[in-house]
Amino acid sequence: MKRKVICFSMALLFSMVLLSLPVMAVEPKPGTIIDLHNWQQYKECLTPPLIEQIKMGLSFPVVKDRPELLNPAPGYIKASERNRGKVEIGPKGELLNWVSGQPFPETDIDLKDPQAGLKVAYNHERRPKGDDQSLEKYFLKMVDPHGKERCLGGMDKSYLILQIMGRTDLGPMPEWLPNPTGIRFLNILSIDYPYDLKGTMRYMIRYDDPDKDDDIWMYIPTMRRVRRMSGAQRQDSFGGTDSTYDDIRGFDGRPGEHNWRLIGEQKILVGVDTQVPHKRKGFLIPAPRALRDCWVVEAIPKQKGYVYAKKVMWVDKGFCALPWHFMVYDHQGRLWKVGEDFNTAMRTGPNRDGGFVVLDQSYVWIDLLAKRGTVYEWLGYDENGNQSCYCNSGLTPDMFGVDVLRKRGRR
Amino acid sequence: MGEKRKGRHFFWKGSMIGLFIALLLCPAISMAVEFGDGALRLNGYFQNETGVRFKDHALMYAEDGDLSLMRSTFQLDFSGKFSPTVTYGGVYRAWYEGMYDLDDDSIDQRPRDKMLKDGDFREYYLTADFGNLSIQLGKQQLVWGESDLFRMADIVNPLDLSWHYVFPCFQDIRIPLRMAVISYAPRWHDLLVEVVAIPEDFQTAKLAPEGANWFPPAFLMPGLYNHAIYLMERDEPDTTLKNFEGGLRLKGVFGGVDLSLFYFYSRSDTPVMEFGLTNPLPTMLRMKFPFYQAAGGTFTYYNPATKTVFRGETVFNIDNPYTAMITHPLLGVPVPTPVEKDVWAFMLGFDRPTFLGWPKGRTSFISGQIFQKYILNHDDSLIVGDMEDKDKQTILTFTINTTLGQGNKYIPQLLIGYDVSGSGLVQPQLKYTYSDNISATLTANFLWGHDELGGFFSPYKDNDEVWLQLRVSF
Repeated sequence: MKRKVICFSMALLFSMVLLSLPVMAVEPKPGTIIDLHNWQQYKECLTPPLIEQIKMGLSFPVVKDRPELLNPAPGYIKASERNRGKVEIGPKGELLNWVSGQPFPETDIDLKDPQAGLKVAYNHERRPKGDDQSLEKYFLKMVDPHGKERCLGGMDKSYLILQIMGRTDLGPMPEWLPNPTGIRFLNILSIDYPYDLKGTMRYMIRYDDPDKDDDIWMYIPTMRRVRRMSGAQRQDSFGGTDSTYDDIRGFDGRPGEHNWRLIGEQKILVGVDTQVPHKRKGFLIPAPRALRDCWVVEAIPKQKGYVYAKKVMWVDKGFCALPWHFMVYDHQGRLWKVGEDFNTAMRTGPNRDGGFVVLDQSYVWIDLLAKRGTVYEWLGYDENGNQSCYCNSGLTPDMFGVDVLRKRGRR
Repeated sequence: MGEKRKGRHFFWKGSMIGLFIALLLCPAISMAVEFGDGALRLNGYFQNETGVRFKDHALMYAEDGDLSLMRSTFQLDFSGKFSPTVTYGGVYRAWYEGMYDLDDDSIDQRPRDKMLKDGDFREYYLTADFGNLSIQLGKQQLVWGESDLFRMADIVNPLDLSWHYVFPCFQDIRIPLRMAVISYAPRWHDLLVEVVAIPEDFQTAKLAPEGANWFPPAFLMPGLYNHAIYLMERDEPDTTLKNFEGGLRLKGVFGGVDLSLFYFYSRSDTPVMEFGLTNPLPTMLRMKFPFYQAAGGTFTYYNPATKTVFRGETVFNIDNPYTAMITHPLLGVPVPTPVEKDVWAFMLGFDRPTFLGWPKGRTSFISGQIFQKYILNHDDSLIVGDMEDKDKQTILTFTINTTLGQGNKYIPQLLIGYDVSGSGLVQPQLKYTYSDNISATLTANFLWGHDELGGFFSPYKDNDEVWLQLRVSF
């Protein structure tokens, strides 16, 4: 009898183990299609932003990771190695001794370190984006709850970034001197569509000093003049879309304006190798996703009246430090918006014949409360298949400035 | 009563026709039309603006409920490049004012000939860009200054105030002039050196003729005013190099502050009257457009602690022409005589995007300005139409607007203007965007002021109206 009980117990235990397997951490194999019916099997690899999309009807295939598409330009890797062990966080939360490359290697980030969240934020902020970017065309597709779409577009050199500090691959390196005011990068964004906004341009200077707010000017075509803008504009809607200017590519704000906390790590499904324009179902993007290791960080704004109460991001642990998934909470504690970033690897160099560089040129933001979303796509290739996003193409500071707005903004 | 009903009937009829025309013309294309890889790019819009009055006109040119506006506009913006360094651009605009045809019983028909329709290439210019140096030649607008609604530095182009006073967007009512603008930007402190030369093209400001809604009844007696308009046209200088106007602006960013200095040698685009015994009968008046000089500066400063942009602008006009009633040496009675006075004006303002808790996630743009103008060496003989105090004018403006919905579907705005002499304007507005290319804007004007002369808004205190702008763009 005793033997029977033992055998029965063993069988029961074995059955329980077998039964429990599907709800344990199961990594989806390449080829798996994840959708509304099976997502719970893989929930360990999913995040609230992705789960919310699946509940709305998203399905997507799982593919093998292609880490080679996330490799930065060679100079960035070398600069990161030179930096190793030298970069620190100062008393004001500022970055000390950083010259170029990744500030903190993965091995320097410890869950127990109270500064770990800020370290991840700096890795994300100074991730490899090329020493410059020239993105020709973009379309922001706003999809309302009824599926009706509105569009905002840029047609010609619509997004330009020039890194003044932290340059790793194009001369002058590591900094474009003279730089007496400590500019970190220059950025121009232009709108060519629809007609009512045609010619609107925004020029932003970001400084390395965490206490120094951005300088922003806008060319307002109906006024035909350049207007100085408040830094508070970064919290406002980006052209009526579902994100703010600070939300461009997940997070485009200033790390020093938030209190950061590393709340965990997770291997999640992300869009490593995608092509734009995406095949979409409304604002849902059924592009293939692959598994990547991420840090999970939380950002609480220091400014009381900031538009969000909290932001959570899943930042890649590798060099690319992409914020693959992100979500924000409102001041009532409700999950307000979720979003996802997608990478399309682009070749670098003036002739686009260099190695790949990470370029997260498309992303989605979904407003859960208003049940609508916006897909942001910078077109990597034109209709003839020619690459239309350029990295390290040799932009110079002459191409930026308040006067450039006036010249380029004319209708 | 019957007349009012008739006016309202015409209003609805006019509105419906306007809407129908705009929707009929709604283009199948929604994006800009482009030819030859940027060689020619076309954009534009069809637009109808239909308005109705709330009050009888001060001089009974129209009644409560009559149309105040029924203007249909087609605008085509064209631009392109001849080469990487030489580009061109321009604007063709044609318009038809329908209220004289649709409401011919109630609306005063006197302005009909001048204000019924027109079509022309408003702007056309070539731009040559040689790196830091660029030259733009042609008929164009040049905008200086940091003020909204006021024009102290923005004085290069005159305004067309005839059809809807100052309420359209300034770029739609500036009168483009043939000019050369040379810009040099040496990439040092965002410095811009801008030289403008207007060799021969002189245009007067365009004022509403007698019988039109925006005829300023308080300035002068009816009849005399119309005669003044006639004199303006008669005495407007011919196109000649004697009209030369020109100026210089230096603009840059120093210590985080945007600064500019400007100088403009200008021919007054509003006239002064001169009485002369040898002048043509019957009034023996002649209109003159004297030259004067304007020099000033602007600043814009962003204060990060308050997230507020502060703006300022000042101008000193040397020998600003005015008409004064001065005793004629032979006749012994006061007659209109041109005089020159120095004028100092300034504007201080602020802009602040502010989260008010509503709409969710959107800031409200709050902006305020104070504007003051002083006529130095003033005396009581001066005729100053729009000023309550003869030597000083103070106007305050406040604007608040925000955006709602995806694609900024709704843009509500409230504008308040107040002349401290006791006249003002409240202008609520709501813009609704149906799609990327179709929008409707509903705006109302509520004006108040004194019955007697004076105050910026007083002459138009009976011109309360509401109007709908429907636009289809491509």
